[in-house]
Amino acid sequence: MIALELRNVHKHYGGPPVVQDVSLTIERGRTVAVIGPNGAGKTTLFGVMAGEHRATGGSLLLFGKDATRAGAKRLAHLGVARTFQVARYFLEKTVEQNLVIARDARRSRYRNPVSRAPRPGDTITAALDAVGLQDRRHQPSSTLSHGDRKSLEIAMALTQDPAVLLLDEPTAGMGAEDIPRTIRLLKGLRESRPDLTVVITAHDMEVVFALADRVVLMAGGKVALEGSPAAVRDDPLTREIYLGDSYEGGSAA
Amino acid sequence: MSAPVRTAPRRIAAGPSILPGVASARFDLRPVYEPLIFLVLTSAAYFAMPPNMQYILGIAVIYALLTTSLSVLFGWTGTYTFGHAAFFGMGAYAAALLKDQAWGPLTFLGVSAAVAAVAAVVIGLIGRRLAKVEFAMLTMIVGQIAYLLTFRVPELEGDNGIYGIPRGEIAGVDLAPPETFWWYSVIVVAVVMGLLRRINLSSFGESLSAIRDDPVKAAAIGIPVNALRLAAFTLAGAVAGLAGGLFAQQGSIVTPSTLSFTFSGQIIIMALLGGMTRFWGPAVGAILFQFINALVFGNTPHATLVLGAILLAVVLVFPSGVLGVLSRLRGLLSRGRRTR
Repeated sequence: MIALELRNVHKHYGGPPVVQDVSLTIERGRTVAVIGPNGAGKTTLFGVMAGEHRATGGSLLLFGKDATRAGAKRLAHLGVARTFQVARYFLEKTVEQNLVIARDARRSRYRNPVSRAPRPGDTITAALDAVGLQDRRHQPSSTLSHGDRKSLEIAMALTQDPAVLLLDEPTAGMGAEDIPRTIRLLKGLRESRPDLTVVITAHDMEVVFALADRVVLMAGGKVALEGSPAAVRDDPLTREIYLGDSYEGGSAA
Repeated sequence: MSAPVRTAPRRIAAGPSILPGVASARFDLRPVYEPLIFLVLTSAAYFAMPPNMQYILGIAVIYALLTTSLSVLFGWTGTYTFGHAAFFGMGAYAAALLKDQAWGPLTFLGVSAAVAAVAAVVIGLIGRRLAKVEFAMLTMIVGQIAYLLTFRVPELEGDNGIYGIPRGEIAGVDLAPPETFWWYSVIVVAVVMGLLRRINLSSFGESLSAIRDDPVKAAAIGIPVNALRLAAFTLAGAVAGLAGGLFAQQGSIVTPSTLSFTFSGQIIIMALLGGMTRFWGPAVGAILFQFINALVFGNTPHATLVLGAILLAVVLVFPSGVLGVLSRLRGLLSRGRRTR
């Protein structure tokens, strides 16, 4: 079954297109990595998949149903959870409160102006355990380290019981000790939730090789290459694209 | 490997619940005892005061409700509005225009709240897609239009205002004597404050604070940002309108100053003085402001200017307001005790 499908997606912000004619099919249970140099259109494409940006052309299908104009809020209720490149969470809240808000949002509890928010339950504890934030449970989220903020966002996504998980640079800015932990976490998630579909954008090739079934290489807003991680790595085009971009030469190596 | 595996959605947290079937592990009594404390403290103060002070406190508790309604937007949701007096004024004028109806005082309050709520829905829908600052400008413009209308529409009597709004009676009790009216108004204020506190602590209230902290993230986790902002705006408008109705009953006169831009600014200043990061901050700020204004600067010609300067200093030095400072002091004291 196809979880997520993009058909000829275009996106421009009034100027030249940032994403042009991108078509992708992502099967349920697969992990796909979208890579490419800065400015390749990865994050914009990601925004389209998450409903944050509306495609100016083409369509987005979620489990076979059109979701092109669904928007972020609707997609969240259809089971798409995402993280941001620079972690976003609710600064004024503790770690636990962030998770409670995420869990309750998916359950549409915001409709209830009368009864108190339910206590943090097993879902919250399990998500905290999964990302290793148990000790920081009652800490104000604004005091977390950079890596822990990324973990908090992943934990928030997990409380939403997602069918599709979109991770925008999940290890960017993490300390060396946090990266293997995050890779372990995401691997474990794939084993325990074989139906979960994951899309990752990443600079870190270690992450891509550890997790992805398939790699999509973007350049200039288009899909340049698509295939198994090894095939994409060994393709001369990959070298050319990355070497053509002085900023990214190191991370492709 | 301990990834979260959920077999079935778990809606009700384990633990004893007072009301069976209600998804709450522990019943929160703050919406009950906090307004009670407010009622007891203000009433004790009221009956210990000379009549001229009683008069000030009578207005101050109504303003306490008004500033709390502003905080629903500023403090809870992160929506800025510079025309909040318009809703207060609409509620007051609604009561004034309908003064000849043989309704009970509580019905009048309901009508005041409803009129302001309808206006808030309309303005909220118009401004639904506006960004923060643009929305604030819209509220300011609407406030100015409402203010100017009182001079253009003959029925609104311009500067003279509308006189003779009755206090009425409840269950045969005449509300005309000041002390009777005190009980009526402070009970109304306490009950509405209790309702607001309940909403503040609910999942809805929690979602509003998520929108305040990061609207993009809130939408990404499935919170309907625009719909909840509209709901908050309507709630704030309704409560401000109710406060306006109460104000009209209290003073028996309504003038254009109730919906002036200056008064909108004063509502913000009162709320900031108490601090909008805490539920009771704006209410405390309103009461403090009324007494500082009357006692210290009541007779000087440049009262507003001096008061403005002092408040500016307060806001710059203590951005979390009086309640914020108090709780920080308490924190320092308890830390001091622990180290000793």
